[in-house]
Amino acid sequence: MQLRLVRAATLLAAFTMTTAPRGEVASFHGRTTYYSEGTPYGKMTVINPSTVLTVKPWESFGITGGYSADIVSGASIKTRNAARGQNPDAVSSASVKDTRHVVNGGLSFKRKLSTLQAGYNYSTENDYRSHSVDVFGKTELLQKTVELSIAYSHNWDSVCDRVQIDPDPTRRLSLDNSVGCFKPSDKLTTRPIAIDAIQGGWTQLWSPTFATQATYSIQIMNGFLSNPYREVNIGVSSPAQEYVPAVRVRQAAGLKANWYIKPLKTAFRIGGRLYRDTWDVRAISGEAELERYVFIDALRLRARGRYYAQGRAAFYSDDYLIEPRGVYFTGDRELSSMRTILAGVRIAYGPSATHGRWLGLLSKVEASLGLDYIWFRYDDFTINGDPLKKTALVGTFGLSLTF
Amino acid sequence: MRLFILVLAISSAACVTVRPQQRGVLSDAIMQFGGNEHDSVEHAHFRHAIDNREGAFGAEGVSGGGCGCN
Repeated sequence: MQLRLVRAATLLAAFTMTTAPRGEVASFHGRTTYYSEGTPYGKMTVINPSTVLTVKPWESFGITGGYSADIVSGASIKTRNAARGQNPDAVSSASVKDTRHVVNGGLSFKRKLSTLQAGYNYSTENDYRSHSVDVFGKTELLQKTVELSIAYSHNWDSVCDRVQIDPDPTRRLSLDNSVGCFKPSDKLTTRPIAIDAIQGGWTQLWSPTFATQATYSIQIMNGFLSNPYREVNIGVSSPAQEYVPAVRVRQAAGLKANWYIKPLKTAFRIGGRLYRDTWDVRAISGEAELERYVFIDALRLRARGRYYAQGRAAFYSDDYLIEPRGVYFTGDRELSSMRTILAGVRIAYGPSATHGRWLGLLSKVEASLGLDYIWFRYDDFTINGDPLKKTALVGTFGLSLTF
Repeated sequence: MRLFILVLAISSAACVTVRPQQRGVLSDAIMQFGGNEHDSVEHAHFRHAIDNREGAFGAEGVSGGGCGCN
C-alpha cells in the first residue's frame, strides 16, 4: 500500500514537473509553534507542528492536503471557588494531557480575476471531535484596485460529557477525565455543537504605497458550549458543572491599513477590531507592525505590538456565592474582564532561484523564526483578592519550499 | 445590496487609480495583508494560539490580496 502511494506521488510529481515550464507547481509548508504559559494557576505548554502540501497540476487548479497536531500538557483550573465559605478565591487544578490531530484537504480554482477554494477538516482528540467544511471566494474589480472576498464555514462538532442523572443545571456534575469518551458507555455521552461562520472582506488600493482592508465576520455557535470538566461552587452541596447559554452569536468588524514608508523602506501596518457577542462580551484590539528588508533583499525583519481588552460576559461572576448573575455560571477566565499586551519580533529569509531552479526542483526556499511575549491580566478573575496575571511565550519556526 | 453599492461607490472614488506598473511595492510580501503564503500559514498558527485564550473571535483579515497584481 505504501509503495503504491509513493509510486502515485512520484507519477503526480513527474507529471506536474514535465508539463510546460511555468511558475509554482507545488509547495510545502512546515511549521512548529511552541506556546508556553507560566504559573500561577495553570502552567500550560502547547506544541503545534503542522505540514501543508499543495500541488498545482494546472496553473488554475490546486489540491491541498495537510496535517497538524496540538500537543497539550499542563494544568488547568478545574474548580472555581473550591473552598466554599472559607476562601472564596481558592482554586483547584487538574492536569491536562491531550493531543489533537487535524487532517485537512482542499481544492482551489483560479481564473484571471477570481479565486474559489473549498476545504474539509477533521480533528479528533480524546474528548472532542470536529468535522468542518469551508468555502472561500474572492474577485478583483475596478482595474484590480478592489478585492472583495467572502468565506463561509460550518462545523459539526461533538464533545464528550458525563450522563447527567439530575437535569437541574445546579446539580450537574463535571466530567472527571476523558477515559471512555466516544465509546459505548452508560456513564458518558456526546453532546453536539454546530458552528456557522461567515466573513466578508473588502481590500482597497488607494495609492502605490497605501492599501486598506475592512472585514466583518459573524459566527453562530449552537450546542453544548460549556467546558465539561470545569465546575463552579455556586453554594449547593457540591460544585456544579459550568452552565452557559446554548447559543452564542459573535460579531466582529476589523480595519487594517498597510503603508509603505519610502524614505525608511519600511512597511508600517496598523489594524483595529471591535467585537461583541450575545453573551455581552465586548472587546477591542489594536495592533501595529513594522517590517523591512535588512542587509539583503531576501531577509525580512518584523517587529509588532498588540493590545487587547475585553469586558466580562453578562453572566460572569468572580464569586457566585457573593454575586450570583442569573441562571448561568462559569469559571472561564476568558469570559472575565481581561487585557493582553503582546510584543514580538520575527526574522524571515526567503531567497528565490534567479536562473531556473535549484537542483532542478526548488524555485524558492523560505525559513522564519518568530518570538512573541504576551502579558495577560484578568481584572475580575481574582486569586485571594488580586487580579490573576500571567505571561506566555510563543515561538514559531517555519519552513516553506516552492517547487 | 446597498452595502455592495456603497463599497463600489467609495472604491471608484479612490483618490488615485493605481496602474499595474505602480504596484511593485504593493505586490511585495511586506505590503500584503497577511503576508505571502509562508506568512499566512504562520499567521493562522498565531491566531489559533491567541483565539483560544481570548473571548473575542473573527474579523482578523483576509490573507493575500490587495496587490491587484495577479
